[in-house]
Amino acid sequence: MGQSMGSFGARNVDLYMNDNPTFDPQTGFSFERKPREMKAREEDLISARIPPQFRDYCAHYLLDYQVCRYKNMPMLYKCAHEKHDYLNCEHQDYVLRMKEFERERRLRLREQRIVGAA
Amino acid sequence: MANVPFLGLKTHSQKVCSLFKRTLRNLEAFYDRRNVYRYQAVLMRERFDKNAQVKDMRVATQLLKQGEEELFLQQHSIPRKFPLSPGGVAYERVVQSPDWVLDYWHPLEKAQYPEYFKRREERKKEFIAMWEKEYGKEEKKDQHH
Amino acid sequence: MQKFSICFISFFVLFSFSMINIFFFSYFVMNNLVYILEWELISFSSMSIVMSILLDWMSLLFMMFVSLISSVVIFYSKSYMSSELNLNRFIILVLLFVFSMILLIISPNIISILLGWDGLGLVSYCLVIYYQNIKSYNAGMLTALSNRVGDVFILMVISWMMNYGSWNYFFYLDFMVNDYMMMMISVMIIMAAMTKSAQIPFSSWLPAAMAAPTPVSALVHSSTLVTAGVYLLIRFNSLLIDMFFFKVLLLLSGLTMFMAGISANYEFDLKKIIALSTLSQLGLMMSILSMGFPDLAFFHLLTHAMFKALLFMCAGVIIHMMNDIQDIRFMGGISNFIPLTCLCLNVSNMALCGIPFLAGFYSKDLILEMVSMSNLNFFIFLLYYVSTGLTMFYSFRLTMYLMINDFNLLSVYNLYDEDYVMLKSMFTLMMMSVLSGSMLMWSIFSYPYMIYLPLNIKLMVIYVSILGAFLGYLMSNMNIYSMNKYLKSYNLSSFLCLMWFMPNLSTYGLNFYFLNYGQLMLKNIDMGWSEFYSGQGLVLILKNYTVFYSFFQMNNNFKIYLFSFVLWVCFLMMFMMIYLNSL
Repeated sequence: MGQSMGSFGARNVDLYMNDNPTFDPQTGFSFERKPREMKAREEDLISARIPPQFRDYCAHYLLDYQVCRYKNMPMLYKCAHEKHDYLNCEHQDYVLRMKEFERERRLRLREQRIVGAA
Repeated sequence: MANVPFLGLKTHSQKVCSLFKRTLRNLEAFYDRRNVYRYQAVLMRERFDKNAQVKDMRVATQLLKQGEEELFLQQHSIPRKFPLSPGGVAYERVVQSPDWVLDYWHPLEKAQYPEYFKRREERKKEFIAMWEKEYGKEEKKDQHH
Repeated sequence: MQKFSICFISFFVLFSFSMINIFFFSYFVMNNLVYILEWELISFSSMSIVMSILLDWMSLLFMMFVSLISSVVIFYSKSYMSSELNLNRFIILVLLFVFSMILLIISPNIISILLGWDGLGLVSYCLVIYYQNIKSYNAGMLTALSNRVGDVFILMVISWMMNYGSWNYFFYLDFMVNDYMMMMISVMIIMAAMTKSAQIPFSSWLPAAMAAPTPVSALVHSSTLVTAGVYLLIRFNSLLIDMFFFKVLLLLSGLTMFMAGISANYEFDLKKIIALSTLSQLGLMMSILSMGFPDLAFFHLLTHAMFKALLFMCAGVIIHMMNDIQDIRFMGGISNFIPLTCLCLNVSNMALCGIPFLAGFYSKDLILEMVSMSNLNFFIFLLYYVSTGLTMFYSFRLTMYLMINDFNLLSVYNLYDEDYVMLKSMFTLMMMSVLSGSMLMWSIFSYPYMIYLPLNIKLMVIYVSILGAFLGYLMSNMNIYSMNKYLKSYNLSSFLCLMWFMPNLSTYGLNFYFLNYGQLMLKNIDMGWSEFYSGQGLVLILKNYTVFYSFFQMNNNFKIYLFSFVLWVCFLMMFMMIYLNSL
């Protein structure tokens, strides 16, 4: 429900939830944007046997959380701080993806306006 | 029940009373609180009392039929039955074994209760004697056809 | 010797089994271990039959919950069924049931799932018909036949799986996703799970099976039998995710959730209300499963088992106290008499509604938030939230009828709940129902879910709950001067009360014409013409012909003598002719 309502206004530019950005990442920004990089190492992720869908850009917090859980078993509530860090990082990532979506939508609208004026 | 030659024959007043009782039970199903039910029951009694003095049998049976129809259309899907009554939840839960099962016990089991089975044989003889006194002895007819 | 009755021994064994399982579960979930133990039964040439057991964190956790609830229920039934002559038989049936369930939980191949599944169906039939009256027989027949349909689907899955060479589905799940055969298998698995977990086409057996004794309902129809289907789908979930049929399951289970929530509002039998509440939560479990979140479904399964078993046990105490009255219209104001049971009832009702920080909150709230975060259409979203509000509605209505309204019993009973056996078992479950939500939330979710929602959607749960509670209060208020709310909309309420007439459709509608046709066939053909042409008719023909032919046979001396005379004369004539010819 959340996703479909969120992307509802983007239908008229033929933009759907799972699409990739099509414009150049640098247009419109005054500073230089760097591509994102993973902070956790590949072999750490493999040895901790984290499932593939969780090996995203927040995986270093996830590794810390798993280590804390293993150390504090069975009093897992002591890991609340690490869990909060991980969830905050995921939240920032989600907000970043929302912003990318919105940027894509506005650039497409601008494209339509330019093409319409020409 | 009234003393009738066949079962199922009822007088008009019996039918009206039966309708009234069923209506009250239906009201009980809809209005659970006792005080609310009592109020509605008094209203229903007043409805019945308005037509109580009708002397013409044709009109009376017509009213009865209308009443039955209205009760059927307004009956509650889940009537409020007592558990041990027929149609309730606990009806016939405990199986009562019939009496003749005792005759099928193994002699070793019967020997555990000697006095009871002795008395049982006496009782059976008495029962047969009572039956024959009432209805006469059984004639000797062909046992196979 | 009273201490060593079968109740106490089985309670002790099952309880210690569940305590052992806690330790194993915590070890397995930390190290993410999966053990598969195999015993070879027979092996010759290249064929070997092995019996394997899968020990996963999921199966250990589920076994812990099943054995905990069953141990508590057996302890409870020592006091509840104390007037029963054959208590040993009852306990043995319950133990058989528990063993079938454990066999289903630990099996990685479809054959031992069939053993557990069939065992569950048959033993639940025996348990439902435990009280021998006509209602129980009908209910048992309904239960057994609905479960049998699921068994047929599992048998077909077995035969389809022979194409893969082994019945260990556990190894095939991630690799054969796009295979055509796997699609057939997955459709059949979904149908089997739908029958067992009483989704919409097959949902008539669950309210009817309340004819069973209350400990049976607490164990079977709240936590174990009805969750077997959900557990099967959780195991198969990685296979089923992108299938179209899974979306159909989403719709059907959402409708189940909604329908059960509405029907529970019009129902007056205490156990049937709780059964419909179970049905609604089962619909919730199945629908969240069909959206692709198996661990959320598993979490809700476990917490729901806890508070639903507790709710059934409280209902059992109330029913036992009132000499088998199950109708809530006969009850009112019982909280003055049995405060401890009312405590357990309130805790489990609140846990069911998802009151914050009890057991149900962690699972239900997380499910609703994940639903809001995911990409589905408005109708399903509405079904989820409206069903949550309906849960609050019927729970509040139940509380109103039982506790808040005035005393409504037939005569002034002396109600008391000093039955310490039943109270002890209920307190165990109440402790677990309060604590298990947060315990499980920390243990199971190694990879936490991130929720990011606008404020109003997050508070939507609270809005529908308050609305539901308010409606519950309005509908159970009864005044002298107003007509009953249900009487005003008579047609609608009888439609909604009788579960949208689906039990009638699936029993009377499906069976009546076929059974009549079957009787016609029986009388006319089986006992009619085919007897004429083969059975009795041939006997008559043979008899008549034998009688006729025996006229010509040599069966008395006179015929033998005459025939030998004729034969001798013929021989003489023959020899004479030969002699004359040779002259």
